Amino acid sequence: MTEHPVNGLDDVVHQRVRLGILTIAHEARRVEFGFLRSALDLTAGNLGQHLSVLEKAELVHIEKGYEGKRPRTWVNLTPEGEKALRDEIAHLKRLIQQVEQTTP
Amino acid sequence: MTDTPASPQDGPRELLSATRRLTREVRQAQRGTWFPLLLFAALTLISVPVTLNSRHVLDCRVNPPGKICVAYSLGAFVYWPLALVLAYAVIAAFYVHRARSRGVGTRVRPYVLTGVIIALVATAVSLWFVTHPGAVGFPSPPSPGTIVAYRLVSPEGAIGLALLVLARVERNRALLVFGLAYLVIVGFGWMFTPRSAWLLPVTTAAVLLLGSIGFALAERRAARSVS
Repeated sequence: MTEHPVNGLDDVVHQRVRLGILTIAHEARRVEFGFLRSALDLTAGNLGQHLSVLEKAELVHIEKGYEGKRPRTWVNLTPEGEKALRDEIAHLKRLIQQVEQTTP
Repeated sequence: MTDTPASPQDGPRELLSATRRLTREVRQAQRGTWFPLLLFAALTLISVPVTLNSRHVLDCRVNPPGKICVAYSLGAFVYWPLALVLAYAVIAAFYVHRARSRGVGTRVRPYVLTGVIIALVATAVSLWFVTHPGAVGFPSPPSPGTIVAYRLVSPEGAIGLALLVLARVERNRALLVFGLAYLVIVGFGWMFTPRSAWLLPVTTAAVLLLGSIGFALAERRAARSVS
């Protein structure tokens, strides 16, 4: 018997904001804190908390620096983050497929 | 606490559609298609006086039963490789600066590298064409296929081929369609224009310029709809 797709969902990634961060970081290759904040419509504090969860899980790498005199925070996806995003998307698609098959 | 209770927004369909929306938003921020098109339109226009005013080489060789002569502009062979390599350097700088100011990374490197390689290979092939005129089927005139191939390895063709790479990099279907249409004009335009040293480059420059204006307007409209 095959495992239900729900069992494969990663609690760290299966969350709207964190999945959004991973998606943006994947597509952008490297994304600045301000872009994430406006794209996801979050406060700086809220975004910071989600980023630290992802950083602790080693799914993103956070780089702090300066551009001119302005402090900047850049977020990169780690290889583990790439894999987690791929797996989450695959699980979501399987979940939808399963729901469609079982719904009369 | 960073975890929010499950909401209708966290359903698999909603999550997937949110990822698609965010992906579109990032691509929108990374795109700057109008700039290379504008730059190449300008370079194509400048090439007309460069080609017309530079020294022309008339290379005649004995090729029994007759003689085969090839005339070409020496300036074009110097101008185009330099102009294209410089243009790709400027395009890379533009994309990097633009992406950085918008807070995202850029995917332009494959386009720039492929563009430079195509430009250099196209120049080498064009040089080979003019130094080996016998290879194109002399004494009979070159076939339409040969002329189309020659046009595709011309600098205008090299620009179009690289645009297809940019379309792939930017995942930009509109640019793919534009690039293909542009290549059709470059490859087959000679069939419909009188023999003229300037008409075809001016036509291709006009197409690039119109494309640049169109993409600039589309990018502006998309940016407004996101904000």
